[in-house]
Amino acid sequence: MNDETIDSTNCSGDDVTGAPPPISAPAADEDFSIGFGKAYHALSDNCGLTTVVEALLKYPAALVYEIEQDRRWPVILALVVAICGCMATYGLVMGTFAGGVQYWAAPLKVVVGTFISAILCLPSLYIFNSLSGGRMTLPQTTGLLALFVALIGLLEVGFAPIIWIFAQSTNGVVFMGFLHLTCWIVGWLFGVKLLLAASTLVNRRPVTLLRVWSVLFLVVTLQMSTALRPLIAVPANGLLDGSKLFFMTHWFSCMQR
Amino acid sequence: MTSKQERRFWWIDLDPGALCRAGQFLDVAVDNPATQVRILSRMCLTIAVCAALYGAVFGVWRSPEQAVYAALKLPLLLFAVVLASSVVNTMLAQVLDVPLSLATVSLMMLTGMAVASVVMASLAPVVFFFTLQMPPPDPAVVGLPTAHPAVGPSLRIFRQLLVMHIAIIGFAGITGNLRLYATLRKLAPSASLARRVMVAWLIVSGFVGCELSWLFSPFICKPNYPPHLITRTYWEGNFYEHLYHALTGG
Repeated sequence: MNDETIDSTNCSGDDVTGAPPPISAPAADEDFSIGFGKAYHALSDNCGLTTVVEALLKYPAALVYEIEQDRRWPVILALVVAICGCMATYGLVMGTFAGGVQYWAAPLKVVVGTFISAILCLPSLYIFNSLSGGRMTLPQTTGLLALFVALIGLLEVGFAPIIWIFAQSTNGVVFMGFLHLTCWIVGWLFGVKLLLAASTLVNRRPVTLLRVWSVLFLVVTLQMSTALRPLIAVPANGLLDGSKLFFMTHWFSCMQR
Repeated sequence: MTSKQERRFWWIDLDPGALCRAGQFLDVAVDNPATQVRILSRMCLTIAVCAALYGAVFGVWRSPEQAVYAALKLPLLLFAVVLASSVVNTMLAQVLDVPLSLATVSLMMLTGMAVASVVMASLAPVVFFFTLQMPPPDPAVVGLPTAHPAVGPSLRIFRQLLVMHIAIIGFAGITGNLRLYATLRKLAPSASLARRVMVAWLIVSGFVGCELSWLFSPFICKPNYPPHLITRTYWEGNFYEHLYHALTGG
């Protein structure tokens, strides 16, 4: 089959017979990337953890650039480490409410639950991006997902002092649950904003179906929190409750109690 | 690409992302009959694998046996929808002034179903996770009548899962077929004609798909029935009669 009858490039636009095409910065009149895309260049330093975390907050477009380039795997590894650290810290603060076994159980569950949720949603992220006409490869999609989850984790760590204050000054499990839910949704909203901007930059076009995907991710994480309960209260029968409930059913039953 | 490179990079043709973009190769295939057989085989393989994967997730709540039955039936259902509706869709396209051959329409419909299958397969991990979160069916209710009180809790879970699966399959089906619009737009004399043909195909495929899914049922299987391949009593009525009776309480 010749080049005219089948796309001889792979999904990232690479000619499978040669070197990848150079990545060009978006034009200035592409208003979806003027603000976000200003820092669309290589990281000036190595792809160490502190560099990546700083870039995640201040100039995430540089990380998007690296994810598109050959240095994507060191960046993804740094983001994964950041996710582990941030989610473990958030879980630790979550565990200070009940104390005891939750000091280590809550961080473990938050880290494991986050990674499982991300892995469950990765195939749909890749396909939804492709459905919208995006040309991200699977490794690039993995990088973008890591970027998205890492920002959520970073923001949850930012909320940690506030959560700790309330954890020390209240006995209400329902209130703490509501507080954690609010913090998670706020982090998710900022993560979605980054994801949409980053995917638009990578694909050079808006990727509308990612809004649907982001809701799917939120629902999966909320259900995961119910599957791994208790996260806040003292566990009564082992680390996991064991009973199977939809997350909204669980919340309503907690509120009624 | 040389033939050696083509053999080496055969997997590119199976990339689900490229399929979901459904752009270049479909446009080329429409104009080049020599490529149609190859693309046809790829679409059939994609439907067989991806729909089977989702079918397994569809039936797994009831039992592993039902998962196998659903994995076998879902790809067959999609093929049956294409077989049943391709002729009438070709006629509709032609009376709507978009002259497409039966081969072209069949290829486009198979591509739409292939994209739908890929969408379903991509959501299969999430659906499987949610299925695991649901209480399993109570084995003690097998053989009881549906109206028996003991069947109620499991039946409720069954209905929730069924609604979830219908929503996902509906979303995948509509998305998969809407991906054809870009190609249809290139083949049609105008955008409005392309839209009319697209809407007509969606209505026909949806109408046929609902009835065929009824005939191919069960995919999950009610908790008070043992897992089985086909419900013979469903062949004595149709989906729309059942829906009418369900809505009117008859």
